[in-house]
Amino acid sequence: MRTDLGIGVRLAVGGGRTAMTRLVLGAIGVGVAVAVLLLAASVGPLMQARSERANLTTVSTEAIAGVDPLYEHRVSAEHRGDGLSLRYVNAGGPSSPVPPGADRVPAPGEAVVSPALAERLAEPGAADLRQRLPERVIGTLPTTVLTDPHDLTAYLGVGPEVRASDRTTEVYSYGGFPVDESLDPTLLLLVLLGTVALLAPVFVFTAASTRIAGAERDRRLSALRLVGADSRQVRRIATAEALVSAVVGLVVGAGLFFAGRALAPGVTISGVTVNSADVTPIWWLAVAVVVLVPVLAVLTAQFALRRTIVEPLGVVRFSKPIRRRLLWRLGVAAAGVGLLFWHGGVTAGHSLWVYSITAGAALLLFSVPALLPWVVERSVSRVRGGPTSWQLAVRRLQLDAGTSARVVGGVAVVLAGAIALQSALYSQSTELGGPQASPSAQNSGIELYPEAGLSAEAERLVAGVPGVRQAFTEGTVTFVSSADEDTASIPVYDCATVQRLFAVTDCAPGVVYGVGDTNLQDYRMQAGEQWWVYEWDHKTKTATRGASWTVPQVRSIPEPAVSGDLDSSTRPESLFVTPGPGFVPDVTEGLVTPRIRVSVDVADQGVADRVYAALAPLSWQVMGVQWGSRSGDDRAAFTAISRGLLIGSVFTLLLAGLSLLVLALEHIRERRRPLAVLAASGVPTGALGRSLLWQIAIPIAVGVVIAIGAGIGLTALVLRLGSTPMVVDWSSVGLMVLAAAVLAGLVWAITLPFLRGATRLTSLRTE
Amino acid sequence: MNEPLLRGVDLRKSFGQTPALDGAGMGVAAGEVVAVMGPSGSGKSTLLHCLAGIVPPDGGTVSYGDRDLTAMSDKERSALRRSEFGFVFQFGQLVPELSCIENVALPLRLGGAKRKAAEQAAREWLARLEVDQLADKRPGEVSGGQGQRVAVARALVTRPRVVFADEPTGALDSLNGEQVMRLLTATARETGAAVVLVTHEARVAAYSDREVIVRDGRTREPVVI
Amino acid sequence: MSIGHALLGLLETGPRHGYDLKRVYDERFGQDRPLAYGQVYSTLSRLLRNGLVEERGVEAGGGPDRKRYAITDAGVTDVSSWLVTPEKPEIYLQSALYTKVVLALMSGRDAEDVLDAQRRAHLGAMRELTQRKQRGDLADQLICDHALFHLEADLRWLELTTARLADLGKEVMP
Repeated sequence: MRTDLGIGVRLAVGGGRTAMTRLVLGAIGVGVAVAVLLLAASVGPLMQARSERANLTTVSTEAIAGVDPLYEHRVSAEHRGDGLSLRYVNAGGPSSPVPPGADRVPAPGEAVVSPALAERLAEPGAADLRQRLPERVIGTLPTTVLTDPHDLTAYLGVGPEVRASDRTTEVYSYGGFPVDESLDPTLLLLVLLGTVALLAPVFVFTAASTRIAGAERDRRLSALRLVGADSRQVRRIATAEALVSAVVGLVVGAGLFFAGRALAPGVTISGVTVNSADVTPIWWLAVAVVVLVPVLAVLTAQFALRRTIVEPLGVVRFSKPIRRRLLWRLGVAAAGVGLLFWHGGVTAGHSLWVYSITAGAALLLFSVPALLPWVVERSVSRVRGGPTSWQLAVRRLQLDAGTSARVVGGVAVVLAGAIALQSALYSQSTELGGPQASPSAQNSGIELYPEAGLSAEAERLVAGVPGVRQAFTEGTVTFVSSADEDTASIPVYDCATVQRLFAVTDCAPGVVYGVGDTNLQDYRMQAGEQWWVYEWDHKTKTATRGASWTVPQVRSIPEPAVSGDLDSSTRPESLFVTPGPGFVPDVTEGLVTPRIRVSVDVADQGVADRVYAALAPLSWQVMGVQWGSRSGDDRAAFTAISRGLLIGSVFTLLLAGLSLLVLALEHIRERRRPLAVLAASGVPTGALGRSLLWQIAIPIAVGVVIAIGAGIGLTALVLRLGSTPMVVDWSSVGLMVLAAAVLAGLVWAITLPFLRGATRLTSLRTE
Repeated sequence: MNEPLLRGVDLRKSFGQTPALDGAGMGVAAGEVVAVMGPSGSGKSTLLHCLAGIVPPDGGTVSYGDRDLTAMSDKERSALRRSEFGFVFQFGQLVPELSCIENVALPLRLGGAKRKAAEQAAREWLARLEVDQLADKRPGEVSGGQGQRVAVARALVTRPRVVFADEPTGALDSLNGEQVMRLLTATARETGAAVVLVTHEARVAAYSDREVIVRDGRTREPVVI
Repeated sequence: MSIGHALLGLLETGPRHGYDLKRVYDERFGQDRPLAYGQVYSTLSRLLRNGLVEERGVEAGGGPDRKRYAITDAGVTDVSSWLVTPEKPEIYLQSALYTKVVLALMSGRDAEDVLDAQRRAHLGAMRELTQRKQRGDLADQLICDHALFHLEADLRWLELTTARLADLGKEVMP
């Protein structure tokens, strides 16, 4: 038995160029599968490691006896479009907790920064940032306490004045609180769908690669039978051959995985960067991959031999192959559709939902290669006539549609998956800020949240910044209805602002103004009703009912001429109230939580940084949020995902193309003599070439049709769950079809020289 | 001897360093069966390939009627082979995917004939070669002798002026070989086709009208002692 | 070949006249060399003397050529034993052809010419036999094939000799 395996190994590695091609193709197939599976096995630990690190910086505000609180004031801002997470800290006493990663609590004027921020600060062009963060850097945070190695984070020491701020929290300890940092469900679905769509062809290719050069293997095995191997030995030899390519594939896969792991920090997905060390597969999953992939390869090799009897003088196939059964093939598709419809009986967000959707999508995709041989066989079985080249191709496919259909199955899965993903992406892109989203939503405005009493100062600092078109302070007052059932938040503008923004000259305090016929209906308020001011205490986090308010009539004012070309995010509201005695006498600035809405020149990329720099004197006392930056993250995610998909699709298409090529070359070599004789008899090589083209193109055409159906069907089913209307991105469908056509053409073009070689005189020589 | 229909003069051809033909020449007249004999490696197959215009010789001329094959383009030679010549080889010349009748009809269809007409003609030829019962079988399902007769039918179906047969019985036993030769020469004579028959077997050569001996790439002239 | 046994074999199918015997013999076996009457009668009289055939009546008209001959039991036994006795394979160790080739070499002539001339002669004969075979019945085919195979054997020897001429030349002319 050892000898049999040895012979198999010998045949796999020492059989000349074809054997090497076969080995390499098989190894690539298995290798890619292994690498992708190892990567998939690492997703769990990766997420785990991320959330563990995120946990390190969660805070507990629960008072602990004997521990002085650390006053922490978190300010989010941006620099060059990257999020900046600034934590101004002030130790309440010697026993205050120390921020994770810092040696001590930085004293006022000192800072501990993340490596990425330290780097950024050191850049010659970052004077604006240094102006904003003048603190002396006393230390660098280790990346182990950062969620992402590229995070721009700092702990900045600040005086006790920070304690008075509403937004300051008293931290008694760090860490230990799990945070749920999961992907947006829509994105998660896309990622899962993408994983399935990319994994499916890898499996298909692994299965197909063991069947590459099958005819040649048959001949080899017959030759072994001729010298006395029995049929069991032959099977063992075939097993060893498959094992060799699987083992080489494992090595290739491990290599690919480690290479990918080394590259991981350079890749950003959804604003998330990955530490190399985090990409470590769960050990038992890794073992499973290492064991199961070769087993799969061997099983497919055995499966390929199931209906053949290797005889000493050739391989006997049951000449009337069992008619391909439709039922189980349809069953796979039906199970997939069923799962997608049922989706675990639960709604989005549930883990069962995710699993059932993924499984359903996988089944639907796998049904493509399962259905393809049947469809190809059926569609060619009745074809008669046509030109000679067509006839030659059709007859060949009638004799053995399975092999080409199986290989094309790989292409079809890629296409179906890519079409599904592109369509899903395209449909989601409105929400994700993809190509369909309006570009004016991006980068059009900044909202500033200053500390109490500083809004006028902040507005003044911002107003003169080049690129700022308009800046105004807006407060919000929240009322609660008499029955405590409803709350309504109404914008508050002071009279100076009203006179500046609207064409109102007789602004009076305590009046509700509405642009045009805007009324209080939208707030479910009616004139004459009694409401109360809803007072929120930031320190105690409790709400109380404040002064009472009788809803007045809305005073109508005309549409302001200037607001037309301002984006909705920075345009003043069309219904607001002026503070003053007629309204609520003692509404303080603190109660209305003012924000400054800054509209900026969309085209001006540097305006946000200039705004932040202008606000530098206020330091921690103002926090900013840039409009469109959040959707910018999503857009980056969108781009990253679609680029990843594109790369994956192209790679798998190439893989499938490679196996198509091997198949075509094998076909040529098998009928070297008939081809040479036909050429000698004066048949133009063109006709033979065209038959080869048909032979490649027919299965691909059928595959493309099925792939489009499956892809669009899958998208429809998946999007139905997300209740997003489906938009088929016909241009990307067209692109995929074009890619398949190009692939077929390319394979054909590469085979042509071999065809010419086969039809040369040397093939005729018998002497 | 009549005026030769096909004539090769002083043909030279080398494969790399090895000369295969070194000044060989022969002619064949319409309706004549000429055997090309010689030991293995003597260049007889190469002579056939040159005469048939499958390979252009390095030197010498091949004339067919008043046309010079050696001056023709590859495309013209292909067209000539398709319309005027027929070929029978030792083995493996039938397209395995096509049934016997489709194989025989193939040259006609490539010449532009309709499927019905081509298969009708193919059936007649299969009958003449006594293998019409195999029409719908694939080459893999028939015996060597039967397959060779199908190949002969395919070579003759276009009613070629010259039939080239390269060891047509090489893979057959005596009885099947005799049958194939009998049918090949008889049908060729009926249709008035010239036959260039490459063989190393004297019994096969005995079906010819005369023989040409090739040795070391040269044809031997008859010697009168 | 034994003509006596051939005639006995023919008589086994039924009594025949001498003339009749000659005609059937010529038809079946005498392609190249028809039997002379004299040989038929001398053979028959020898068979008669040995008791292998007997006279079975004389046709009206008299004369020696009107006698009918029939095979006796002893004759049948004789034919049977002749049929099962294998023919001695003929071994031509000193054929005329060999002599010619060696002499051609010794005299400095082109032995290949000798061989080619002989090949042409052989092929000519084979061609004729092949044509006759195609025209004739099964018996003709069998006889022709027999001759063809012998001629082919000669030709193969010729081919081999041609291939070895160089060596042969060295041996005969040291």
